[in-house]
Amino acid sequence: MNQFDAIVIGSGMSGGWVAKELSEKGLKVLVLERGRELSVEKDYTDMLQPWELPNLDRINEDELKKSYPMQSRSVGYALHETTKHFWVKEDEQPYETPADAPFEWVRGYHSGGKSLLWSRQSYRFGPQDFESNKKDGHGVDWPIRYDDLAPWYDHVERFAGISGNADGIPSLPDGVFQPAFELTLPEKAFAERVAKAFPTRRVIAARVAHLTQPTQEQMDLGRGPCQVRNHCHRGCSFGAYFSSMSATLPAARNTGNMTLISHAIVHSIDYDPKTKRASGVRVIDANTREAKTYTAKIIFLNAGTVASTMIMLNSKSASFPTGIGDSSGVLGKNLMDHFGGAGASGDMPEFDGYYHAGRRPGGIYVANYANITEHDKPYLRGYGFQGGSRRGGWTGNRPGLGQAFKEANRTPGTWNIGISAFGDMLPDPRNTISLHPTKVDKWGLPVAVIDCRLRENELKLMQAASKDALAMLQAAGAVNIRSTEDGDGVTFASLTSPGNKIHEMGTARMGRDPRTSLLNGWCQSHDVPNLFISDGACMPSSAVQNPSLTYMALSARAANHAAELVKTGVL
Amino acid sequence: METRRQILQGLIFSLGGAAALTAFAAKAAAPEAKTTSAAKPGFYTKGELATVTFLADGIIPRTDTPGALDAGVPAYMDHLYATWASEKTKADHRAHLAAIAGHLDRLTDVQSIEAGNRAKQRVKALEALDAAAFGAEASAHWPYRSVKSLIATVYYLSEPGATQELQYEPVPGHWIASAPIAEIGRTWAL
Ligand SMILES: Cc1cc2nc3c(=O)[nH]c(=O)nc-3n(C[C@H](O)[C@H](O)[C@H](O)COP(=O)(O)OP(=O)(O)OC[C@H]3O[C@@H](n4cnc5c(N)ncnc54)[C@H](O)[C@@H]3O)c2cc1C
Repeated sequence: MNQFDAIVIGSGMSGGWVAKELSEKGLKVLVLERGRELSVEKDYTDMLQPWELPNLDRINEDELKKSYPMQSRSVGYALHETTKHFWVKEDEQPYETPADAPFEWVRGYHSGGKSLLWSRQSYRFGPQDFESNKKDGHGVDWPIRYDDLAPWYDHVERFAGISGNADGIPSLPDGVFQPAFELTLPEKAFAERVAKAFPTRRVIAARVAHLTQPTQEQMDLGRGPCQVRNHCHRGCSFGAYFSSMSATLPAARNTGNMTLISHAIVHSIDYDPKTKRASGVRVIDANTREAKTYTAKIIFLNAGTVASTMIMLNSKSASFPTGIGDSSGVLGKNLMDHFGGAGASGDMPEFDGYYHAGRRPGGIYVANYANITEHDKPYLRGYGFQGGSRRGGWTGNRPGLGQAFKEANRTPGTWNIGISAFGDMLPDPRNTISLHPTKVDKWGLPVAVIDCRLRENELKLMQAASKDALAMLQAAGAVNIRSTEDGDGVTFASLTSPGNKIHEMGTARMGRDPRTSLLNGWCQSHDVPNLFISDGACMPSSAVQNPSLTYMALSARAANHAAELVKTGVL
Repeated sequence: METRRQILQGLIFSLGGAAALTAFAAKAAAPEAKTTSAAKPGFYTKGELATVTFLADGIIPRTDTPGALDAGVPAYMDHLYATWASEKTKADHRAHLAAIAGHLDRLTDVQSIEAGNRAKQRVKALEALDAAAFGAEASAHWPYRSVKSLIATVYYLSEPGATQELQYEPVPGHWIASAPIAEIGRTWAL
């Protein structure tokens, strides 16, 4: 009866990995993707020259207001006339939040999901990140430790291609790296001076999922080295940055074992109380609204944290009245995201005799030291900083006319360097995703209600990050410093809203105890053994590192475990 | 109003802008020019177009490299406002242009000078406006500052602006983190 061994819901960052691993293990895999299938030729716009971008690449203002009002604020750097087809139209995909608690739900519905849209910063979690919940009692203990995931980090890094340096920082472990993008002179000076003033603070080259020395395996998939154009949000025709489109889906396809169905909106998952298994996946065709049910031995949910949670909440049965696999009652709770609102930048004119060439896709990273190497903080957990340096370019915002104006713009502006913080958000059961009791979208699916708030610890933490950012810029000898210490400093109102960092996670967490967690250490449902969730929903805590690399490693690990269970007849 | 428009048109002519004016009009109508195709009814009135043209040419004239008129900046802006801007932004932009033209008028002593000197007077007026806009009265001259910024943006991202006036590498291929600036050259357009 089963045409497929496995169903993977969602073809994005995590689903792509599951599809690849399962199909390479010989399982027949069906990928259900609610969006359309993108084509490199038709949908990528990375080959357009600046003067070919319509209207300076600005989206018509009325259209922007109608379809992208929130995302244009959250991801304005990536949402343009030539990329708007990669982003969900908000007026067509509503969700709700309390008036006093905005949540920025940024989405891309198409093959590859947000893996096409990400900024490619890729860091391992460190040993401390798997222990933080246990240590301070927030959330539940991770059922795995760093050593359990380390070989899977190796595995995904080798395939995905991460450029970075071996920095030897125990809390931010090194991995399988391709050569890093060199730091600029101001960045090198910044790193040295910060280390001198604050001996355990490490400023390193950003680790990004860009090929700088592709392997044969990567080239065989049609991927090539990064061309240093920094047009990544328009897609990369060179396949130089990791996405499901450039890497995992082609690899899965090459096995001949993967079928991908587009426009397939998963509605819910059926549960069979007799077998105690998930028995089918209900789908609505996005265009025809035709309903269908697909079946397989195992089901992986990889629709992205919020969407996966909604699918589970919508899968109610007599056995699971609050949603499939939710005997613990934690489904939809403990929503987290990283958050920001602290940073500083300043000029370093001492290096103005030097300039760069090429448009590097990453910058610098300051590894978290708070409560790791610097102790006795008035808050729990910590923060990392992303940043970089650049010289100002041409500007119309300068006096002068004619020859003199043109001449002035031929010399670049002074070097400027800046960093901004990403904070660790505590798991808190009051931060929730639920289904609206009455409102439905145009396919008849209940809309999400998201209630997620930053609280006292987050505020204190970001206030400290702000002071640190300023102190580091000062230690580096920067001038004309602007920072979040200016004016009123960091307040609740100045923190970024949850969702803004697009690292939403935590609403179907892993844990050791089925009474307090949904999944075991293999991302496998405690209650429904053939159901796996390996997107951000499975995360017991957020740490401070950009999480996608961890989703990838968890997905690959879970998929290999699941394949083993299928092969040995357990599932 | 009439007088000002005539003065501006005379000025464009005297600065060699009229040729550019027709050149960009032709470009706007040319079917191959993607962003300015369709030759829809333009956004600017004749007078506004004259103001924009005067500003573009005054701020970024042709020198040893093409200027803003060679790069088709006024036509680009016309299309931008016709197809990108909301009604409010359109109205704001018109008001900005009117304010700028008004300032230029006030700074140009139209009555007392002979026709031949008007162009020079007008350029002087623009110089005075620019100095004021970046001096103590900056806040009173936001309209001028914003239009100047837009002209610069359109110009430096145009093909001549990016590749002849500045430099642009579509496919750099590799990253040089820092080298003596003489080895790299002019500001990168992007
Ligand atoms: C601008 C931007 C910058 C970012 N930068 C970084 C970064 O630097 N580093 C980092 O680690 N992370 C970054 N992220 C976050 C990163 O993109 C996500 O963590 C990652 O893509 C999540 O993977 P996922 O598989 O959970 O979801 P996605 O990649 O979003 O994939 C989910 C897929 O499921 C599909 N889907 C959704 N609902 C359904 C349904 N009901 N039925 C069927 N299919 C469905 C979607 O269409 C989508 O294809 C960034 C994100 C954005 C948008």
